[in-house]
Order: sequence, then structure tokens, then C-alpha cells
Amino acid sequence: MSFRTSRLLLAALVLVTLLLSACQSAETGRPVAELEAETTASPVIDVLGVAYTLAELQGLEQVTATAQDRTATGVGLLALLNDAAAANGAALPETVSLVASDGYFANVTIAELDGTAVLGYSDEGTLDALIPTLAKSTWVRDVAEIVGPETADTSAPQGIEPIPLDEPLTLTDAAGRTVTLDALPGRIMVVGTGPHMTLHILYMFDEGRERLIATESRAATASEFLPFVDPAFSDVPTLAANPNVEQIATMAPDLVIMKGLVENETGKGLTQAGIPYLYVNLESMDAFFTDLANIGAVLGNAGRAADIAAWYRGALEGIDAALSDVEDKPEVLLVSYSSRGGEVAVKVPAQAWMQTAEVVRAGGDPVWLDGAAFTDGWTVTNFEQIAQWDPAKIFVIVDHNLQPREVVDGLKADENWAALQAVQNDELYAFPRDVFGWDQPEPRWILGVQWLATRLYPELFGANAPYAIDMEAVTRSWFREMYGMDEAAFEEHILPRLEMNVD
Amino acid sequence: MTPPAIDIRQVTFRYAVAGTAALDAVTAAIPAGSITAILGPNGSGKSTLLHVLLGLLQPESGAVHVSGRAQHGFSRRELSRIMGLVPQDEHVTFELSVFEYALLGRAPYLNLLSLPREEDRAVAQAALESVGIDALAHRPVTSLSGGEKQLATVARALTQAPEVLLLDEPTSHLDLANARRVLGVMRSLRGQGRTILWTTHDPNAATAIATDVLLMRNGRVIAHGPLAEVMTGPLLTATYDVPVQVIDVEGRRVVMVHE
Amino acid sequence: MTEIRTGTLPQVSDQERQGRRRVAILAVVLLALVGVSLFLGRYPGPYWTPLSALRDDALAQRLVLNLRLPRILGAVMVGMVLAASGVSFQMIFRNPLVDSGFLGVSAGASFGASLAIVALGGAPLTIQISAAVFGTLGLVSSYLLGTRIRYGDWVLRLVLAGIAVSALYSSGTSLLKYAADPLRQLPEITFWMLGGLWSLTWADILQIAPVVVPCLLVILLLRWRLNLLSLRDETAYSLGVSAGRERLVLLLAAVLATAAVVSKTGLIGWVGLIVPHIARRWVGSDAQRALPGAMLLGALFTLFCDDIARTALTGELPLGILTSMLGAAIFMALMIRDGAGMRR
Repeated sequence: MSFRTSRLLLAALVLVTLLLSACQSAETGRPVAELEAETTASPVIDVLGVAYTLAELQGLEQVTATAQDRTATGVGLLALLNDAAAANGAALPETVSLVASDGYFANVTIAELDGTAVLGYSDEGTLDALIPTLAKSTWVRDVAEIVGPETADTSAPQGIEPIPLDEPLTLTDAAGRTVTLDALPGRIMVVGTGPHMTLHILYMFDEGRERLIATESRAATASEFLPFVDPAFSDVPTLAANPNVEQIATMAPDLVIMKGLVENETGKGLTQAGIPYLYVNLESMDAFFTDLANIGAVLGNAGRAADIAAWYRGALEGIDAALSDVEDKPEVLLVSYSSRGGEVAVKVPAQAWMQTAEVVRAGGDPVWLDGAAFTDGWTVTNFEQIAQWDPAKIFVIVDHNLQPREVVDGLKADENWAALQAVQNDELYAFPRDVFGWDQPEPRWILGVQWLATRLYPELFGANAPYAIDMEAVTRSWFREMYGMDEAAFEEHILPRLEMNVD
Repeated sequence: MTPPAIDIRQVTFRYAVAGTAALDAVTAAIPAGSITAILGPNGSGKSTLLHVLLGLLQPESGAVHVSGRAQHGFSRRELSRIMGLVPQDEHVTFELSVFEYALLGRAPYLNLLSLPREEDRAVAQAALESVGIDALAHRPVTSLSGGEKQLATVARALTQAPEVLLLDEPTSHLDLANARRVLGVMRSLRGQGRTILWTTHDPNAATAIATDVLLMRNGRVIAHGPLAEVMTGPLLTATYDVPVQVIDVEGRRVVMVHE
Repeated sequence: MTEIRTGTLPQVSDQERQGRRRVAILAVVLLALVGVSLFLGRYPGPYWTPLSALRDDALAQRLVLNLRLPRILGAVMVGMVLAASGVSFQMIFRNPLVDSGFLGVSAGASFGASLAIVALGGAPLTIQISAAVFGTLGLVSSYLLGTRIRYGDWVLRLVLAGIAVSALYSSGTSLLKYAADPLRQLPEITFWMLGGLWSLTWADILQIAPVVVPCLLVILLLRWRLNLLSLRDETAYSLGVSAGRERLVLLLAAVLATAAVVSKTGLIGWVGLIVPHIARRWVGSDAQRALPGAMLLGALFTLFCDDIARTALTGELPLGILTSMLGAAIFMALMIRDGAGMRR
């Protein structure tokens, strides 16, 4: 019995260890903005709104306490609380919450604390509470902040109450489903793949910012751009990947928005749970307008959606009008350039994708569509094929890890590429980007189309041309109209990251 | 006069359409209640004959009658209630107990959806006892020695309650002690109205317990009859194509090969 | 027929009695785990759902009845099917090292499902049928190929053939993934291949139950025949067994049930391989007990893993990964212990 059991226990132990290590990497709703460097000079804890560095803690009364099997040495808890209250110029509240960095918290009544309560310095560099007068459940480990009762747990966005409608709202979503809502959702969640695409549209609406309560992310952050638009975005909890329906249900959303074209498992589960959900497509220009209208409808601001659509359509119609007489379209190659693990990959986009659509809309002739692409995704292409196409203009979407300037210079220096007519005529460009690339199926696509037009037909759209497009002005205008970014914010957050003149 | 247990009439069998005959007009009437040993060199057709009798192989000409009825008149289930096979080596992959293994012999009496009943279990137990291995009943078959495994297979065949027991080289890979034990069991089984037909390449095993002997060579019957008549030097020499002498030792025939 | 001489009335051995008792214990434990699983989840809080929530919260009731319960039943069904198939394959092919994963059934079913998603429209019924057809093809190809290999004994030959056929179908599936539309089809295929019971609804259960339940019944009723089929062909013949026909019925039942289940839940590995081993060890090798024992144990194992998959973390863990990790670990332990009970 022993031999076999010990082996089974070993296997179980290995399994449990693996699961626990996976546990630690899963986010549990912790606000995204808490990524502090751990040096003694930076604050290690927030007490009643007052930040303390380690040195400052050590400057207060130190206590050593022992209870049950634990001993802790550190700053006296009462002393710390009194110091913070004094700094606030306010009285101590009756209860405080000790909040750990993983969200766990315990409430403590001040009257039950005495001089033996200590916030000890642990060997791992965390602050662990030891309160001999109270139950062990209050001895919170890795305390990140101490908050008073009125500020406890309000950092996460709450959304609003649903707004009842006189008539139910009926929409058709990207998966062809009919979605009927009796009230406008007050708590909205965005889950699934590519959440940033939906979020960027949502945040064009004040209502969207107000009503988003949580999102899921497959990558580390849901969007690197939105904190510039609305600092409160950092407080939106980001769920770990693949939440199941029960987990979603704990956040009590009124509407869940997912990117997809067919009913998926999460959708099925949400049906069973009775939670309404909406699919969005966002992969094409037409889809963008439909999804934009749907999002405007569920937010109760169809007018704003119409204004946004009008901005986009106006820009597109301007280009269409200018191109109406053009007969000869320049041959264009659009590729993505990435280097992962030392391997360089040059790929062309699929026929149905936004990248291709931008080229076509801007009046280009996409060479890579001859000889139908075998896949419906990015297809790797080799240089021989590029040489055979020898297009008039080449646009390179540079992977966000790389520098466009370096990549373009590198390609021009490459003897193979130097022989292409596009390079010889100085028609090799890096595709523009700021925080996000302008080629992607997220709202910046309109900027990508306009920019492409200026490069494809400088005689029509360039400076001093009949249909001139001033890209810098257009870009500033877009950020202002869509996200309410004024000049100062634009110059602080966007301009430093904007690269649209790399050729 | 009781009909022969198995009446083999002019059975011819070929493995390949134009090949040599594995069995060539074999004729023999196996007496009921006998212990008949089939002797012959390798390739003489001994195992083939057993397979034909079982119905595994169809002869191209000739007929086999079992207990007076034509073999092809029996359904497979009926035939398996009359004839039981003890193959040379039964490889059991999973650790069935000896009892469970013996119980498998009741298959001919159970239809597809039935599970073994009390009476089946009783028969299996009896079979184990008559073979003398009931002490091993709950040991896994895979843990038995060669001889014990062979006896377990015999018990399994007995559970079929057959009239005729066919054994293919039952002692060929057993040591002296185990071979003796198995032969002893075979002899004791005869006393219950059973006919035993078995192949072996060892003439001395035959002389130990056989009542009748069938000599074969190249698919043909060389001789068939009571032991005393057939186990002679000249006949054995003709069968094995080596000089063979038969001598009498304390009332028992011993077969010797000459240098 | 000669007279049957009945000897002393055979005692049911202690082993047998113990085996039967253990099967009963497994049944009771399974029922208990099913009951406990109803209370496990992430709503309203992680891990345990208090009774008060079930009583008062309408959403909790809905979740338990519409999501948890069908999922629990699904896990039980999957475990039973995979274990029963495993036992059947192992006994019919006289090879303790095989399960549907090794014999090309899972790989074939995956290929069939992917083909249905990419090229045949992707309707649920199409996926199921395609998975069943190609799953059967996988088994047939493995078997035929095994008879033609001229290397090693039967055990090795069959495993080699199964691995080769599985590899062939896997590459076919990879090719389909490469050609698939990454927006619609690829996520469907990928999710399917990870193996999981996400959001298994009553509709899904009702779709596969009409196939799974009869097939399991067939295998259960024919369990004693499995013992017979694990003997040599010659012996089986001499016992009046139509080995070919019976094998066909059992294999068909096993493959159909496996394909039906796999078409809904994707690939879930290792259950069919190790559960029969452990069951045999615990309740005896006789299929009369080993089969029901394996089915119950398989249900327990799968349900246990699925409970972890949906409860342990905020995100879903793919079930196939859990069963593989746990199953492989146990398998390694068993192999070290005593060569997985294989005898020369």
C-alpha cells in the first residue's frame, strides 16, 4: 500500500505545485496601475490615503509581537494609524480595512487594537499584520494599503443602474443574432479576443467610459492607449483569460460584448445564465459602421454614433471623389515585418482583412491578391515572390517591438530589396502608427486610409494638391473629436509615439 | 455398437489452391472412449487435422461425422458443446483468476446477453476439481507455472462438458514432472465416457497413456489402430523416416531412436 | 452431452466479493461527488456555493440547473465512455497499452470535426457525424496497418500502427488549421482540440445521449464476452464464439460513443488508458467487474478534473490538459511500480 500510495502522492504533489504556480500568474481583478518598483525610496504602503516609504515606517514606533506560533517585528499598527490620521488632519475612523496586494482584505475595529498590534517586515519584503488581540483572519499578509470604511472597495468602477426603455431595443449583432434589450445596460463587460478594438470604440462615448465595469485580457493589458484618454481606465478590473460564465456572472453585468462572427461557448453559457450579450465584428469598414451603430444604440447615444460615422464617411467620400477619374492604379505591396526569435517573417494580409481594404479604398492595386492566398490569415511570402511582383510602392507594417526607422533602413541597405523599383524610386514606407498601428481593424483605420491616399497619389492628396490632406491636422482632429484629447494631451501622449513619416 | 466418436472419411485439405495437400484422403474412425494419440513428424498435418475437425478449416473433399452426425450439420454452438479444444499455448493477457478462466468454457451454453449463472459456476468448479487444481482457483492465470497453466486450459475445455477433447501438443513444452501430471489427468478424464484425441511429436508420451494411435506422414495416414498393433518399429520408422526401435520395459513400450 | 458432475458448491471467492463491494463503493462515491460538484463553482464566490445562495438567488439557481448540472452529467458521460472504450479496446486487441488515443480514433475524430468546421459547414450534427466516420476510419486503418507490420509482437505492432495513423490524421488536422479562416474557423478548431466542457448545455447533452447511452448499454451487457474475445481466435472459435461479429459490435459501440462525446468535448486524453488499469487492479481483471468499475472510475476521474478546471482559477483550465497531466503522472507511477501489469 505504501509504495503505490507514495507514488500517487508524488504525482498529486507535482500537479498541485504546477497549479499553484499557475495561480500566482492569474490576475484576480487587481487594478492594472499597481506596478511599483520595490525600492526603499518608493512608497510601500498607503494608509488612509497617505503614502509611506519603508524608511518612514521605520521612523515610527517599532513593536515586536508574538502570538500563537508567529513573531513579527515592525511598525506599530496603532502608531501608524495615528500618524496617518494626523497627516490627514482628521480623526481615526472606527474601523479600517487592511487590504492585501491580491485583493484580500480584513476589517479591523480600532478600539480592539492595542500596542501589540504590529505591521511586521517579512523576509520576502512584504508587510504582514500580526494582531495578538484579534483573530488570525485579520493578520493580513502583504498589506498594500489600509483604507477607511468610506473609501474601501470603491476603486473598481460600479457602472450605473440600467435605464428602462419605453420600447425594447432590437439589434442584429455581428453573428446575425437578434438582441433585444428592455433597458439600456448600466454595467458592460468586454471579453474575448481583441478587446481593445471594442474598448476603443466604447471609449469614444462618455456613456461607454461610465458603464464599463470589467474586461478580459489575453495579453497583459487590455489597452495601452486608454489610460491616456481616461485615467480611470486603470481601475477597470482585468479578468484572467477564459473566464467561465460563473466568473462573469459574479460581476453582474447587464451586457457582455464579445468579438466574434459565430456563437461561441461563452455565448451559449451566457444564454443559460440569462445574461444578454452582443457580438461585434470590426474586421471590415462596413462592419465597423454597423458595430459602431450597435454600440451607440446600447449606450443610448445613437446621435454620437452618427456623428462619428459622419466624420469617417466624410473622409472616405473625399477620397472617393478624388479618385473617381483615376484609371491607372499604382501597384501596391503591403507586408508585415516581424522578427521573433531571430527569424524574420514577411507576410501579406488576407483578402478580407482591414489591411487589404485600406489599400483598396485608398486607390491602390494590391498585388498580393493575384494567385489567391492559400490561407485566410497572414501568409508568409518570400523575396522571390516580391521580386516577381516588383510593385510600384511598398508599405511595411513594422512589428511593435521593432523600430520602423531601423527596419526601413535595413531593407533599403539589403541588396535584394535595393534592386526593387519601389526602393529605387524612394517609394518604400513604414506604415504609420502611434500607440497602435494604423493598419489594424481598430478605429485608427481611417487615419491609415487617408495617409495611404497621400502616399499613393501625392499629386491629388499631397501638400498644395487639389484634394490636399494635412495628415498632422487630420490626426489631431481625430483624437480631439473621438476622444476629447486637447492639444496638450495630444502633444504629451500621442505625438512622441507618432511615426508617420518614415520612408 | 457405439458409433465412432469422430469418423473421418477421405478428408483432403489444401492451404493454397494449387499447393500440396496438407491432408490427403485421410480416413480414420476414432473409437468412442479412446485416448487416441496422433503422431507424426512436423508438417505431417496433425494440427491441420484438428482444425478441420473443429470446423476452423473446410476440407475440399471428404466428410467428418461427429457422434454419428455430419459435422456440417451442427451449428457452431452445438459443435462446441461436443468438442473442446486445448490449444498448445493459451496466452492470457489479463489477470483473470483460474476459476474465471475456467468459467469461460461455459460460453457455448450462454447466449450473447447472458452472464454465467450458478450452474455454470458449479460446472467450472467441478472441472477444476477433476483436473486437480481447485486449490489454485483464485490465483491469477498469469502467475501459474507452465504445467499448471496447461491444466487450467484443460479445465476450461472440460467446462464445455464436451464428449470429445482435442488437445494440440499438450506436453510439448513441459518438463518431465509437469508432463507426467498432465498425462495423468488426461488418462483420468477418459473414464467418464469421454474421447480424447491429441497430437504430439513425442512417441513416448503416447505410449504412456494412449489406447489407440494414428500415425501420419505428409498428410497421409500411415497406420491407425490399437497401441499394441501400431506402435511398432517398422511403422514408426516409416512414419519418421529415421531408424526407430520399440522395446518392452517392464510391460511398457519404450520408443528409441537409433543412431 | 456427458453428464455434468457437480462438485462442491463453489464459494464466491473473497476476491470476487471484494471486487463487487468495491464496484459498489465506486458507485456511491460517484453519486457523492456529483452531489458535491453541484455546490462547486465560481458564483457567487470562488469554490463553494452556500445553500442560502441556492435558495434565494435566482441567477444562482439558473446557473446550477442550466450550466453546472448538464456539465456534471457531461463529465460523467465522457468519463464512462472513454473508460468503457478503453477497456473494450484493450481486451479486444489483447493489449493493455492502447486506448482510443493510441488507435487513431481520437486523431481521426479530430480530423473529422476539423474537416466539418472548415469545409462542410460546421453544423453540430455534421461535426458529430464527421467525427464518428473518421474516428471509425482511424480505428480500421490502425488495425489493418497493424496486421501488416512485420516488426515485433502483436502488442507492439498495433501500438506502432496506431501512432502512425494518429500522426497522419494529426497532420491532416494541422493542414486544415492552416487553411482555416482565423476569425471564424480556427478558434473553433483550436478550442475543440483543447478538450473542455465549457458551457455544455442541456441541448448538447440531449444530442449525444441518444448515441452514448445505448452504446454504453451494449458494452455493459456484453461485458462477459470481452473476456472471451481476449482469448486466441482459435480458442474463441472452439467455444462457439463468433469472434468477428462480436468484436465488430463492441468496437462499433465503443467508437460511436467515443466519437459522439469527442465531437462535443474535444480531445480528452489518458482517461481511456489508465482508468482501465487502475480499475482492473482494484476490482479484478474479469470484465464483469472491471468494466463497470472502469466506467465508474472514469466518471469519477473526469468529474474531479472538470471540477478543478472550472473552479480552481478565475479562468477556465482546459480539461484535456488536466486529465493528461494527472493521467500521465499516475501512468508513470504505475509503470515504475510494476510495468503496468504486462506479462510476457
